[in-house]
Amino acid sequence: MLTTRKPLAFIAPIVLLLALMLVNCIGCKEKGQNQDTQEQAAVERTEPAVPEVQDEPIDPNGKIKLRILCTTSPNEGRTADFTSFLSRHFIKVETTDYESFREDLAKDFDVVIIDYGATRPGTPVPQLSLSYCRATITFGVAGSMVCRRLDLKPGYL
Amino acid sequence: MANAAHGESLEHEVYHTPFKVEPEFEYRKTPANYHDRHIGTDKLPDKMKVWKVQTSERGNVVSRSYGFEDSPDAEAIALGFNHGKEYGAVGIGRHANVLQWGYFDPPSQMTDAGRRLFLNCICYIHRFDGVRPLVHTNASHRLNAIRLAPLIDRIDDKSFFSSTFAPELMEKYKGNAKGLADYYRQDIELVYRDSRGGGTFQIDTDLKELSLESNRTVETLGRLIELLGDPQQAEKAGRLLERYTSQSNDFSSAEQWRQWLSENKDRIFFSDVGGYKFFVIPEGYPVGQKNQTEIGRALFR
Repeated sequence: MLTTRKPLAFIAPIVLLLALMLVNCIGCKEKGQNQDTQEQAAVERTEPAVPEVQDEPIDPNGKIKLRILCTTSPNEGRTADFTSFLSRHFIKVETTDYESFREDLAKDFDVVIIDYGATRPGTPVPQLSLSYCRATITFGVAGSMVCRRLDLKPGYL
Repeated sequence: MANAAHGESLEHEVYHTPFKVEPEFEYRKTPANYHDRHIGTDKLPDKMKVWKVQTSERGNVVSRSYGFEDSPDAEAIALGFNHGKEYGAVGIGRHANVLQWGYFDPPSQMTDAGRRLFLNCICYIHRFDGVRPLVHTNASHRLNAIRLAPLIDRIDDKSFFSSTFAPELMEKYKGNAKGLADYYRQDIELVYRDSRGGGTFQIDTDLKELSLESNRTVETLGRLIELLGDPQQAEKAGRLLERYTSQSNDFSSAEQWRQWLSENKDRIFFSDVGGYKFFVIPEGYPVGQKNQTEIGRALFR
């Protein structure tokens, strides 16, 4: 009896472990397959579709009537991150190359977002003049280099 | 800068419209650099209330607080929690038509509050489309004299200070950096930078001799214009008006100065960063909600 019970006692935990790994693996796959959807759902849960305080003109789809021009980062995923987010909230979102950005490229837009995805100074800076006056959001350290070119207070020290 | 902003002063409309920004606050240990770089005489708290703007740990860049709001075309929107500069350094701030977002993460990695604030910033800056700055950055704010004074005993290369402190002051306070800081602290209202003096920080002895306590109040400007009518002080008053305004070449009589002041006195401001001058806000110029904030004063309690 002892000789027959010992192998069973040895095998049972292994079978249980394999079963758990299988279940867990399936769980991971499902999680991986749905990760984007889940993240999207999380964003939609926390982002109101329509402005809560409606003092901005909005279109019938609940989008804010502003046309956004966004400069591109060498990291395409980062640029896509910005454009997909902005497209959910604004009526028009387009991109343009960061380095060759000029003010006249922004004439058909309401707000420019200058992003390059840089983590350190020393990145190239678009050739903007001191008379640049388009409504603009500059982003991160590259943005502060742009501000420095424009002799503005957030300019990088 | 880290991934958070300081949690005080969220009254600005950009936290409320069009999306309501509802940050989740937490308390973090006050960074050592805040204590080291604090130029006030009070003590900073051990912990500070902050809220997370983005999820990854590292933010990106903050702008120095000194002088950020000394002109009504600029406003700090969020103070960045940072480990490099002083408390009060600006994580999100606007100057004229440009709003600098000092954090790094793209929208998917912002917190919910961060995303809402980002959207609000886009709507807010649109109001300043076409608005040019009233001043450009061309001088270092006076508080930098106090900030940099401790370095005279730490940096051997004297050329580092050639456009900061006059050689005679460097010599006088050699080995006594605190003395140099106190020298400026005592007369902080009279500090200016004069390109003819090599651009170093100077105490305005001319104003001191006239018993005027500050070089940046409209009252001082008015007094200088009054003194143009005093034969004994007119020359000095004229020199000071030339130092602190850009109108000296336009006016040839005290009456012209008086008329200019009368017409503009409610729209006159002084900016260190803009070159230690008085400026006039043009009629109709859109100033932000925070055209006069307490950050500068709070830094120098």
